[in-house]
Amino acid sequence: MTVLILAPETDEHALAVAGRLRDLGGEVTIVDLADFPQRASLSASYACCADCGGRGFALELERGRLDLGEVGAVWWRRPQWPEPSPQIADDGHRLFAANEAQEALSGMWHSLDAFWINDPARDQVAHRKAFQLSVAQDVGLRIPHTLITNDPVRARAFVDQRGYRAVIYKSFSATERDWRETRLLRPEELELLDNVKYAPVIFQEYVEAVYDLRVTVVGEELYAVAIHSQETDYKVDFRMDVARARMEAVELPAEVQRGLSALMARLGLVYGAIDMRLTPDGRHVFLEVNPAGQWLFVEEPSGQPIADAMARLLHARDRARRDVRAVAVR
Amino acid sequence: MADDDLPRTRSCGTMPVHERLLRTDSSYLHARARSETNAWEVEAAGGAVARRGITVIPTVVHVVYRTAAQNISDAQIQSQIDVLNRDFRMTNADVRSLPAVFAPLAADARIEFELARRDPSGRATSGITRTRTSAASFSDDDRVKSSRTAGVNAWPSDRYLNLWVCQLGGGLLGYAQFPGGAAATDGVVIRQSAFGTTGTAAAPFNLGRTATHEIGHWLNLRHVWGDDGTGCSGDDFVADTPNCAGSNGGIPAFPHVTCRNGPNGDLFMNYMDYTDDAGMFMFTAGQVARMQASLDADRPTIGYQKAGPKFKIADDPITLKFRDDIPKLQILDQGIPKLPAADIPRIPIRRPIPEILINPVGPVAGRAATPFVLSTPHHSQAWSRSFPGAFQQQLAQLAEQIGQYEQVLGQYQQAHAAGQLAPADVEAFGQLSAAYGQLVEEYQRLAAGG
Ligand SMILES: Nc1ncnc2c1ncn2[C@@H]1O[C@H](COP(=O)(O)OP(=O)(O)OP(=O)(O)O)[C@@H](O)[C@H]1O
Ligand SMILES: [Mg+2]
Ligand SMILES: [Zn+2]
Repeated sequence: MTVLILAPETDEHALAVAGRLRDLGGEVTIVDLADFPQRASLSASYACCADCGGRGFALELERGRLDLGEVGAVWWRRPQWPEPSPQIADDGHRLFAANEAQEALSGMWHSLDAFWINDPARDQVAHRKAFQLSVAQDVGLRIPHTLITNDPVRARAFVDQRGYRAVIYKSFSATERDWRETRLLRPEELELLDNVKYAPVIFQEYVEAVYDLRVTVVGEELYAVAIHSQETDYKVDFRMDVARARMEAVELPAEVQRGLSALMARLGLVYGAIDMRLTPDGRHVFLEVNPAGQWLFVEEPSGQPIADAMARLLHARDRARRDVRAVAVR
Repeated sequence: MADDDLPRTRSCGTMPVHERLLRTDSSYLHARARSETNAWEVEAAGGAVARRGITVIPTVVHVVYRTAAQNISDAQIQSQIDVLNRDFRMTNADVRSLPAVFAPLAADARIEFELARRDPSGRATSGITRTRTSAASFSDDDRVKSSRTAGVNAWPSDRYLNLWVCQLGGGLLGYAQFPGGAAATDGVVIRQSAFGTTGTAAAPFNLGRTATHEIGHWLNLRHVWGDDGTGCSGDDFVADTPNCAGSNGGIPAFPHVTCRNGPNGDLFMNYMDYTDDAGMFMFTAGQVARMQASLDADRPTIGYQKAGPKFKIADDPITLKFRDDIPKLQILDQGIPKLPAADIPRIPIRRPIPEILINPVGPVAGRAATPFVLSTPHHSQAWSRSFPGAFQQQLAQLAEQIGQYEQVLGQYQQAHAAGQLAPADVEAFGQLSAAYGQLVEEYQRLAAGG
């Protein structure tokens, strides 16, 4: 059996985990989905009934053939878009080719009998911020007062109620070109609130912090790191000056750990990188979970063996599949 | 074809042509001096150029052939145009292999090329001319540029980039004429086997980089090593390219240290060095400023500026990257420069948003509105330290956006002066102006702080 990692071949996280997997004696293949359909091919073949040959899935890669029936565990690390051939001159035709490749691939992933970190379908649902807040609230985690709206009147009311100094706003996502950090609302920005009508915005009460927390969950294991964002040049969003933030491993109260485990279970996630803040009055406030979040930036300063945990989990589940199949064959 | 010995190493005839013109054409000498003065002034003024958006340059490809194989296909020509449009917009995939230490230098040249749609007399054209020649091969003596010498005449060089594609002798891959020479010979000549990526294109010059290199010359770029043999005193008049000794060929191993430029060494991944096609994949910000300055001063009438912001996501699904932590740049995800905290986007497993929803057909007024989160500026520049590469990119993107706003605002202004704006348009005009003011402020703030 083998572990499959879907990521660009240069992805540092993928390389770190692949290295550990090999140390453990496991087999591992990193596949970059951007290689489809130009440099790699796929084939999914189905016989006319289950007993007359069943089905088989395989990838033909530059370095050889990979029978997907041999894959016991998959890490959905950083799947890329299929890249259609530049020889297709028409933009519309390129889009069509990419969509077709995407359809074939994703249907194949859903068909695999393997252990997933994380199941693509779960991942897709779990990363929605509006849904995460609902689930977090349900499992008893503390979250910021939040209003998501594209109604300027309601947005203004939310701000008026707590005073602009205590309200942050942020987006769900970003494009390459346009992104913004989490920001406290400024008085001159109140005049622009009408622009909320063009796209929904996340407004939240500003959560004061002793420090930010990054909690990396790998299966049953949970690694918490304090990020001392309040000692950096930008206190509202830890990512902005992260290169200079001090970090250290910390323990979370048992109750918070239980809440996070419940959250992960409800979202169907095996792996997640969770952003939280510890408030001056000792509360742990949940902000979001990144189903594909990075961890090396906390692993280095904290010394937590996260890549190792990831490799151990993939290896164990890959082995378990092999054993199950061996029994079935006998 | 036994008569065609394919070149194994790069050689470009631009400098010999330059020296010939300096000797034989006194107006060229003066034009060169003016051009360099302007480039220097622009650099001294911090790179302020007039065209801040994207310039699209109508291009004519003159295929001059003797054998059927040399009469290269439309597909081969299109493959070359596609390469140019990636290389001059920094969307070429291989820019990701740039060593991290050089990543902050790479820049989008903001130039695109399209096969001309109208010929000089205004008739529809494919932007390709095909001429049979009796000449077995050409050299850097410009004979391919005139019908009297078995070539074909240029189209007016104030409106078109002329690309001649023919058989070149003596292992020459191509040559260009720097700005300031005669219009009749203005343009670039490329050997057919080094043109585009398909058809007769032959390794190791089959990725279309010869044209990228030569068009760099056509826009006033010098070779990175300064054209002084292997010495350390030659200059390419660009501040951000490291000083280096001679040219680099093949695909060198990083770092290649010369001229006390350690630890990072030569910038041999630059389009203006002499490596194989696969070894070159970037222009620097300084080179971009020099090319843009040259467009302003030496080629003011060429091309048109692209109007209106074009959403990347409408182009193709690969750039559809939503959701994650900051700055979400696929290029950066490849490890250059490091974005430790970035939870860079996943593929949304769904169909791309239909283009029509993103680029609605409609009046220019539709562009005035900005979503709230983007209508307000960044509140901190702390990230410019943590993510220098992303910071450079952001600056470049802002400059591009500002250029686009100026375009649209200019149109509004004209329409307003002509009394053609409805009240709703006037309101949109006001909003757009405010958004523009904010962008400029943000740009200045960023540029000052970073
Ligand atoms: N309500 C809040 N109060 C205080 N700080 C906040 C709040 N919301 C977000 N932040 C800060 O901003 C950072 C980024 O916000 P968050 O994690 O919610 O979104 P994101 O990282 O942009 O999301 P994604 O990873 O999906 O792109 C947090 O880690 C935290 O430092
Ligand atoms: Mg986050
Ligand atoms: Zn050259």
